[in-house]
Amino acid sequence: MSNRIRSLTLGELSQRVALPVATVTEIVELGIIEPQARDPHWLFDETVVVVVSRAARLHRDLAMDWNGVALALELAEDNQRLRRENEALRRRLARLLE
Amino acid sequence: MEFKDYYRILGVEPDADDKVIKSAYRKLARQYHPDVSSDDDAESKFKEVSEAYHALKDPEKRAEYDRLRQYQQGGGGGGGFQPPPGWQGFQGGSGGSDFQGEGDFSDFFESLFGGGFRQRSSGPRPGRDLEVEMPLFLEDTVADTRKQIRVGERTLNVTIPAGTGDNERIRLKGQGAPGAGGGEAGDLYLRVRLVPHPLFDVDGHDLIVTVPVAPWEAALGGKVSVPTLSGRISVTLPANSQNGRRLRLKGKGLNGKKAPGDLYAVLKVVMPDHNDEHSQALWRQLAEHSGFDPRADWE
Repeated sequence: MSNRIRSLTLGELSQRVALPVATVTEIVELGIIEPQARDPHWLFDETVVVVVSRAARLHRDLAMDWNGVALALELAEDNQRLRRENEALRRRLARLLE
Repeated sequence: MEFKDYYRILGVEPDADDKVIKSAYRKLARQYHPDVSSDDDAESKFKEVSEAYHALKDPEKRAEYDRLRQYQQGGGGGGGFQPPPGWQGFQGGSGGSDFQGEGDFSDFFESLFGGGFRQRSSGPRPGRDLEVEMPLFLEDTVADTRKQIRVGERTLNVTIPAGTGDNERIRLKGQGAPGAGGGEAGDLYLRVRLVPHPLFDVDGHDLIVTVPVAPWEAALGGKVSVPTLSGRISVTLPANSQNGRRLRLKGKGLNGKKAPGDLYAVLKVVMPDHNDEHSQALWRQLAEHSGFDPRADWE
């Protein structure tokens, strides 16, 4: 049942996430998502849909501007990565010390 | 039905003004927003907090709620909450346009304010894309693997492609939230979480296995049988290996999109639990013979 990930144009992406093209453009310019191709026009890996939807929820629910959303997502992602890395290192340390 | 004390949920006094209510909501919403919070109950707490805010931020709704709250406190509701006889629910038309929830507020909220004000627009609306975490065993990444996962009430069969890594997303088209008014269903994204393994640690596409060795194995070298994800292999241990030495077993790590990762066997020199007299004598002999001072650097 799993499907191959396909590419979306800017228009298709903004339709999928129900946001104006200008808003999605701003989201890209802030680096919240990155196009997988820029030339001749932007193409996005379909999985960015969940990232944009998450950004839109934060923008809406917490009344944050897009800059704040970009920062929050970056920090949340960092935080999660560091927590997982910390868990992994603790497990490795335990193997050496036990 | 349970009566919900929206003031208690937001941690404000019943006579709090709009500013206080808004600021309490903002603070709790930041704390429990499921997209940033690591709290296990974040989603249900966030829903509770936004429901309370949606009820209290609108003066008409708040007045209705206060009336009902007084009735409840007067004992009218008994144990569970029952609306007073003849209660028609909230009939006001304002405040509906900014409703931003997904229509999953509690029965209590629905009975108070009805569901009608939620109808923002007619016409088809696509369903939400959903993302759930999917635990995956390292062994399941070696070859294409079929897995059953439960999402809410549904059981889905998914094929996980070989080489799927931690944090990767797998898309299941049309398996997200259902659409409204004939709109298409959203997609479901599975975010892969590799399950910690009893033997192997993961570093990118590389695997690390800790290999306990006896002091004489470290000193003399030899063959050691080392586990990999696809069975044991024999590894040559060089003579005079230090504790912590890493032996690289090329291509024995996790499958990747391009090349497979490597497996690192990390040596851990382990002393025997007990030494009998003969062993002690042998160690003593070695101590007398060897001029080795491991703390020479401290001089």
